[in-house]
Amino acid sequence: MKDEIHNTIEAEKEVLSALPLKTKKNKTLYLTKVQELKKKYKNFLSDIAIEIVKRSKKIKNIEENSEISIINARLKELEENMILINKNLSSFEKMGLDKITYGLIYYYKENLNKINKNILKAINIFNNCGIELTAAHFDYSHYTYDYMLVFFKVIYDLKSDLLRQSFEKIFWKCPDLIVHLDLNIRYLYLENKNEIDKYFSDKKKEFLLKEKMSEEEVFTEYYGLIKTRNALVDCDQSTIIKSFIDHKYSINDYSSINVKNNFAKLIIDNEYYTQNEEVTDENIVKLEHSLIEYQDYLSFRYVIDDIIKKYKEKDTYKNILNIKLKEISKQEDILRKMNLKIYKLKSSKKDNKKIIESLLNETDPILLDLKNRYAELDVAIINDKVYNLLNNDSTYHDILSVACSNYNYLTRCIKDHEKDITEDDIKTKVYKLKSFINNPYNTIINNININDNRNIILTIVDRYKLLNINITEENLEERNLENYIASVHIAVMYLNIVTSHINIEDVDFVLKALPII
Amino acid sequence: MSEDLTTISNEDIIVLYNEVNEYIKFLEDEIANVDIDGDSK
Repeated sequence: MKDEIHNTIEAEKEVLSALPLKTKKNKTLYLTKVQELKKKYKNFLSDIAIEIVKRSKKIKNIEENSEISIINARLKELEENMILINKNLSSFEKMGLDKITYGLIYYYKENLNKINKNILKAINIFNNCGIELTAAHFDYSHYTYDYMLVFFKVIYDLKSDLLRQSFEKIFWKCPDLIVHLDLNIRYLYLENKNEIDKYFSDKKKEFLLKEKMSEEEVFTEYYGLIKTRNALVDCDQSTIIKSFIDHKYSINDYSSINVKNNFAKLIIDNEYYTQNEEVTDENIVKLEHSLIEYQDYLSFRYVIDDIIKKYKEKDTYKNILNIKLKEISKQEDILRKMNLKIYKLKSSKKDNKKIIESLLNETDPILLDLKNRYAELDVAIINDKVYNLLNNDSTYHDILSVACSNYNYLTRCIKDHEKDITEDDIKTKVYKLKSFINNPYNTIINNININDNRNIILTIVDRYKLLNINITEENLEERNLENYIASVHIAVMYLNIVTSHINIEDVDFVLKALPII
Repeated sequence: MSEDLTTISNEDIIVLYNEVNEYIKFLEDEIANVDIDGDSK
């Protein structure tokens, strides 16, 4: 039919070119003819478009495998409770207070609304743990108390002018207001630590009882489900088609000649491949996992190095955390006594303005000292984790899990490595590190010990060369790695397309139909 | 003309669409280029 139409069009063009156009009558007749043809072909074009839309819809409307969303829902349910069984997290971190206090200091001077949101978040988290906070709990300094009195009054409208005005008024007297609020929240945690620990311990028991599983079994189910979900997504027809539509992949890479050339480059012995296709294909998939893991390892090698550096000094960390906590508690007792004195003077009917001013001035150096001590405490917390959670049998995976358990440490480590990094990029990096740690296909980082100095590149190259895969140390050099991963990914994607039973011509049709529909 | 559209292959229907579309553009150009009262352009 296509050829017939082509011939008709060519014939019609010839007829048109032969028509005379000398007189007005000629031209009118010519125009009438052309208009007729235009109308006819416009109708025809519309019919073709309808047919194209019908066909592409049939391909595009393939639904995602329903099992994927069922697994995702279960994973979400497990993820929400994974913190309860994470042995690396203190209750401070389980509450997310490490992130909140970091946010308070970061948004200091930048965004009052975000500061208030963080304070509210902290209040709600304490509330969830059964500790109902009021303004009276924020008596770390007179400034925190005055601010929080207004805060609780307008708690349902944190953008209110009243709160903003209160902030501005106090800020000029005490530019360290946010620092005091940060210290106050940390103090409230330490004051209620036993109760909070119990809350999380009870929640953990409740969760394991409900699931009728041990902690080990939860982890096994979690990582097993990630693998199952990923396998389904990788070979899901709807996901694959969407990836091409979204230009994530180029259809040209999957033409039979390009696929053949790509595999020829990846395989050492093609004859062996023909005889052992299934196993080699599985190894290509494994290779991609190893390459991605290695790439992630390179991205976070500085974190591993930093923790290993700490580990080498671990003997100096013994008891430091307890000493720091005791020192803080002692200073806070002094501060509280002074604050109480000021409150009493404030409540008195006498004019104590001068004495109050003088006492307030005396609290300033104590608060500054506490600020420094809490900063030292942050360092002591991560060092204590290194001391207690890591040993000579610990792997790189253990190291990264410890680093990831404390937001304050991790963000500091990232900032030390990349001085000009933005806060959004830090968030992305933290997310990437968490995904890296939870990657169920890791085989490198969970098999290298803290004192192991093996050559990872050589290990990967030796492993896959034995499996008939063409890989060199040069491929794994940082400047070449991305390109090598891309070519391996094309091979893996091709295997997924084959497994999904998608016809690549159908995908090509949808892509070509896109500008039409 | 439209009766056979269901039997045509995916590849050919796209080619057909483009060819017809091009032809319509050609016809539109022809219409625009004819000056009834003056010399033919």
